[in-house]
Amino acid sequence: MEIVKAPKSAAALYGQQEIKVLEFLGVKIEDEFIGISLKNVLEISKILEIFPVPLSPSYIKGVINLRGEILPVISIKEMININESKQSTRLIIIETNLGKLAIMVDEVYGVIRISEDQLEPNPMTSIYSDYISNVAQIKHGFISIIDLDKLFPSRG
Amino acid sequence: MIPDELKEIFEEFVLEAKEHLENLENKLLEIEKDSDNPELLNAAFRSMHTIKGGAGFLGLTAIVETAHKAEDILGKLKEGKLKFSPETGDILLKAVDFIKEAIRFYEDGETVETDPYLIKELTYILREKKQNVEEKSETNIDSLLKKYGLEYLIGKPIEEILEELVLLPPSKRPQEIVDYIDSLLSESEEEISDNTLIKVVEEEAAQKMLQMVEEEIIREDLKEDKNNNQEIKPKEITKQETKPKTPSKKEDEERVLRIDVQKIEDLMNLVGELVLDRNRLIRTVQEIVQNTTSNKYIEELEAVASSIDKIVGDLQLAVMKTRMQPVKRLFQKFTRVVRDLSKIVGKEVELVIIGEDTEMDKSILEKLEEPLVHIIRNALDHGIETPEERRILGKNPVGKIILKAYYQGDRVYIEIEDDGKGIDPQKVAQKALEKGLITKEQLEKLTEKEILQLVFIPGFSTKDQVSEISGRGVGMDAVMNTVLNFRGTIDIWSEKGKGTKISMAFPLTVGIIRSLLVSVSGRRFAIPIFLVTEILSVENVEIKHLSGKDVLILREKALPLINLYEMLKIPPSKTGYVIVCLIGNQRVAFTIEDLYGDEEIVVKPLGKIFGNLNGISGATITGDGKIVLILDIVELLKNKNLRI
Repeated sequence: MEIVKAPKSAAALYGQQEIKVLEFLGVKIEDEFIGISLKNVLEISKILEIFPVPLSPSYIKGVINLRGEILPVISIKEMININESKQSTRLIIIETNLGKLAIMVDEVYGVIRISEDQLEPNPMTSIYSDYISNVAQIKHGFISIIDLDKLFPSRG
Repeated sequence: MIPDELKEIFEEFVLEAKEHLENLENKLLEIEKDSDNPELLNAAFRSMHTIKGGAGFLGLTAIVETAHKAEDILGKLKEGKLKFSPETGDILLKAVDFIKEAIRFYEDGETVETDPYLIKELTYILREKKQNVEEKSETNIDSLLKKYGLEYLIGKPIEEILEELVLLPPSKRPQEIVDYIDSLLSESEEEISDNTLIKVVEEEAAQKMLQMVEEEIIREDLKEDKNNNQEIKPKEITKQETKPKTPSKKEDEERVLRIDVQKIEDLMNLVGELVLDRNRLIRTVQEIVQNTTSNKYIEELEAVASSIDKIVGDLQLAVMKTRMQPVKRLFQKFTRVVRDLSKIVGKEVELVIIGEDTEMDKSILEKLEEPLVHIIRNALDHGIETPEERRILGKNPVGKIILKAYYQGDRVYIEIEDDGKGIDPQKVAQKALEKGLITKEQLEKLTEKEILQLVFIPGFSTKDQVSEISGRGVGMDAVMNTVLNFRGTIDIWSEKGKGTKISMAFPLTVGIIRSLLVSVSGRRFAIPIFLVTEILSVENVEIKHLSGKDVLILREKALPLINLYEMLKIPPSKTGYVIVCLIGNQRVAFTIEDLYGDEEIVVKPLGKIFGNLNGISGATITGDGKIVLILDIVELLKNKNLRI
């Protein structure tokens, strides 16, 4: 009896298993529609005064004073080589392997929920595709999910 | 493995044991010099006993077994049943090392096996000594009796021999035998004590002997008055010194509270924030006062703000003080280091510690051990000569290393001085040339002192053979790195044949730096003020061009003049002032645009993503909420080859 039951229950389990829904913050950087895992997003801020830091790489635009905390400001556009034509309007404060950072984005869409089975492996081989873990076709359009671990690898 | 329910007790034990081990190590090292001091032996015994007890409760068998044997030895030493020898010291220190190591393993949740070899060694010490004493007693008393023509007493119990001796007329009484028996009795006291009759006899005899011995000593004292006095004095002094220390330590222990470092860190960070907001508050209040007609509320606001200003300042100082620790613990470690190393290299070296109560920031203190080990190793290995060499040179065969700490201004100085052979600047220069660290032209312009400084350049090492102790010359630049990391400075003096002195200076605290605020190309920067020696208005200085480089002529000396904007690779700006900085022992001038006075700033990190910026050590937030970058002048200069 047990032998018969086993595959049945396994199948039942499989059927019952919920498809995970993942949450992303949808942002626009130039023409790219990019999703940042909500787990990494701490807050969204307007552009604060940026103090440039000499001798640092050009994709680090400088540092901001966020309520007494000094955070580096990163230009994703420079990091992944997109020509800049639009002005960034928001800073997304994210937690990364390299600590808290602020990244500049042009527009913020809001929270986007994507079920796991909608996510597809990145088919592209563009310049920055190394930093894109997945893509998904959703009602807002085609979204690229950014891989923060690759963009900001921990040193060591 | 430590079961969870015992975790807390285990942690307590670890803390306690570490303290006891440190104490033990120090005491053992003192015992080596003063092996008859019962207080030292007692203290060592108690520490070992406490460790054994704690380990026993937690079932840490490896520690228990080792501590047990070591305690036995210390017990015997304490009771005078065992004589302290250098091997005893070595093996007890080995036991201490083993326990230290074992604790580390237990902390990592690993199991530890007793070291059978160590246990054997410990047991051997216990046995060997007993045998020695017994053997001696048989052979010596017989031969002594023979020597004085008292063969008829051979084989008789000691008590009888003594009685016979006592009955002899004093003039015929052989003092040597009496002394010998006296020492035997004190050693074997316990073993004989069962028999009361014997004890009475023994006591009588002992009393008589004592009288005799005392008379003898007085006679001898008169004979060798001068010599004896000299010998006895230093011993008495050391004993007097150790006595008052013990009670004061106990008082200290009661008044000390153990706090998690993280809690202090948190407190420090909060105070940092408070300092920044205080600056902001003061600035805002000032603006209100200036722009508003005075009324009682504004007066009240001003009063409160100034009071808060003062309180925050005091609070900052108080919290900073909690991080300050005396260098004592660090310095004491080196007694052991010097002892062990000098044995390895076959040199005799005395370590003199001065100023061990000097306090400095815990975070600097923690990172100081390694550089000090490097420097002391160098001194021992390359500096101090062998006893034979020293004798030939007419020096004291025992070399001396002085480890010294003291305050000067708002800096703490750590100095290491040896009386060895010193560093030969010519050898240094030659080596630097060979290694391509410097060109011939550059070398010609260097003073002897500047040449000596070359030893701090990465990859430099004067000794041709790589020695087991000092390694491969990575030592000195590691030292340099630590020093620079803590905004310290380092300097070196050396005289051929006389010795070498290395002096490091550190800020009293980390985290808060008094800085000069300047601007370059409209951007503000902070420069730690301890580096700045002079500020000159550009109208009052003489600037010349020498072989394509700018040079400041200051009191007839030419100093390299560097445009800060150039170093920082930012757009050029006009020069309003020139500041002169003292880096190591070289003066360098910088052009800046404008000055904004000095301020106590709280150092904040820029973020990991910047990596090592080589020139910017951090940032701070000023009262108006702006971010000011802190310049690391020393690192900045490294980017540029700067010599005139």
